[in-house]
Amino acid sequence: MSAAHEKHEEHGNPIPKYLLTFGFLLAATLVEALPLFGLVNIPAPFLLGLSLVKFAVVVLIFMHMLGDHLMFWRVFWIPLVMASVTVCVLISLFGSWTLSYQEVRGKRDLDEVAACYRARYDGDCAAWARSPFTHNEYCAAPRSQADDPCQPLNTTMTTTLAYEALQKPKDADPRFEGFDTKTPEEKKAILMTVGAEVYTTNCVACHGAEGKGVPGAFPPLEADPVANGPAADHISIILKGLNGKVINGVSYGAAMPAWPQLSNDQIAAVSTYERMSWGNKGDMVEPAAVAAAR
Amino acid sequence: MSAAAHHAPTSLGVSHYKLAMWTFLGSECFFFGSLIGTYMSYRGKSINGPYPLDVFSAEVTSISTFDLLLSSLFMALAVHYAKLGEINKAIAWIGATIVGGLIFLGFQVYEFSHFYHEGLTPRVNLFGATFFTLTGFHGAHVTVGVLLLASLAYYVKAGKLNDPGESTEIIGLYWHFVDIVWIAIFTLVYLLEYT
Ligand code: HEC
Repeated sequence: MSAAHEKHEEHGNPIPKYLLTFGFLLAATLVEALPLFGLVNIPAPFLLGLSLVKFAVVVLIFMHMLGDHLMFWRVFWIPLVMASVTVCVLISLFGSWTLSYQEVRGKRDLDEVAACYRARYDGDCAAWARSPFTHNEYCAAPRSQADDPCQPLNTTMTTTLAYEALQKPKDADPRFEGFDTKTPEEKKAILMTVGAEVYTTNCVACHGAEGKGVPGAFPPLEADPVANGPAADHISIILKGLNGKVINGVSYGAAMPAWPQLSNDQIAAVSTYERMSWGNKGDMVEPAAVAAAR
Repeated sequence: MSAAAHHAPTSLGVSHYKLAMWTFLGSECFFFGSLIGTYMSYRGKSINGPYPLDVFSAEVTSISTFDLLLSSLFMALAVHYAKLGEINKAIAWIGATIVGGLIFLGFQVYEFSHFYHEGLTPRVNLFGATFFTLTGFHGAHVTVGVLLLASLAYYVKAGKLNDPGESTEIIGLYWHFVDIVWIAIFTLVYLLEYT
């Protein structure tokens, strides 16, 4: 015991040094904890640097590496450096130096992405097409070109709009004020203007801007039997949705969603728009007819 | 080389036990390096929640971090008194270190069960899988540390050690290492989420 005693006395009393070290570690941890409570925002490189200093202080002072035999340095620091390099290489290869969950969540709601992905995976293309994330890296990329159930859509923009439109409550459109007293030309003009908007917001994702649909997935409305047939069928399909119908010899795996959340004005407008665009020869649909169908 | 005088002389000129512990800690760097590397590679890639900020508690993490740092100070004091041959003081500080370790483990049990109730399990997403593996192994190391300290206290008290100072120092090395691993986890897993 006397030898150990002797050694310690050579170095004097280390307790003040230990307390100082602990004081430093405590202060550093307090600084680090500030962002935890949202008090300040400390950039990541600074936090990493600080934890490196803490790490080194514990090894050098609490673990007595300072002044100890060089052999201990070698068996510890060499593996430590190798392990750290491995971690950095792994992050570079498979991870990201900048990505944070907060960032991800700011850009897009991951639960929505997951729902979108699930819909796509299950082949539920209607749900998939309604998602605002059809171009998200997780949701847009086909699992494999061959068995991809859903065709890529035209723009993210339209599907995002479609999604937002589903969420929004509908207000009465001032353009329909005194609609019943207008001349047929005026009525048609209003219905076509509003119809184009409703179509672009809700239907274009599947049926396409030119009404050509997506072959095999979503039917074209150009030269469509319903758009050129009785208005009652057209209204009822929009109100109730449609599934499993064979159109012009083609059967569609996806379903047409129901749109009861659209107002009578909007349904009248969009069906008029579909019936009178792309060479279709259907007649005008007035809001009263939609009200009656409901 | 007065410090080595009370050892049987070794061919390396340093205590083999101590060198063995440092070598073991070097290998532990690889162990935790691979777990941390995996966690960091999968970071931010869970496509469904719960995400870190949905479950993390700033209070619990800060207090348990503080607690572990404090236990490192206690450990250093225990080593100091063990080397001076003041056995009773050494045992008292070893006991304080054990209490610090148990408090840390208590917080971890609380944290894990809280996360579980929030819907975070090892199989629910990448975050859960990598988080529980990394912090779970760290917790296992703390548990081993507590057991080592408890048996150390027993053997020191019973006077069964040739060199209680060195034994305490070696177990102290392990304890401080577990603390520095937590310093890394605290920064990489917790703090980075708040930047
Ligand atoms: C998620 C994609 C999707 C969206 C969005 C969508 N449709 Fe459809 N629509 C379909 C599918 C698929 C069918 C065919 C269903 C079937 O054959 O069973 C269809 C069929 C139709 C039909 C019937 C065609 C026929 O010949 O029977 C009409 C009319 C129609 N859609 C109008 C609309 C209108 C109006 C909107 C916007 C309010 C709209 N669709 C939005 C997918 C969609």
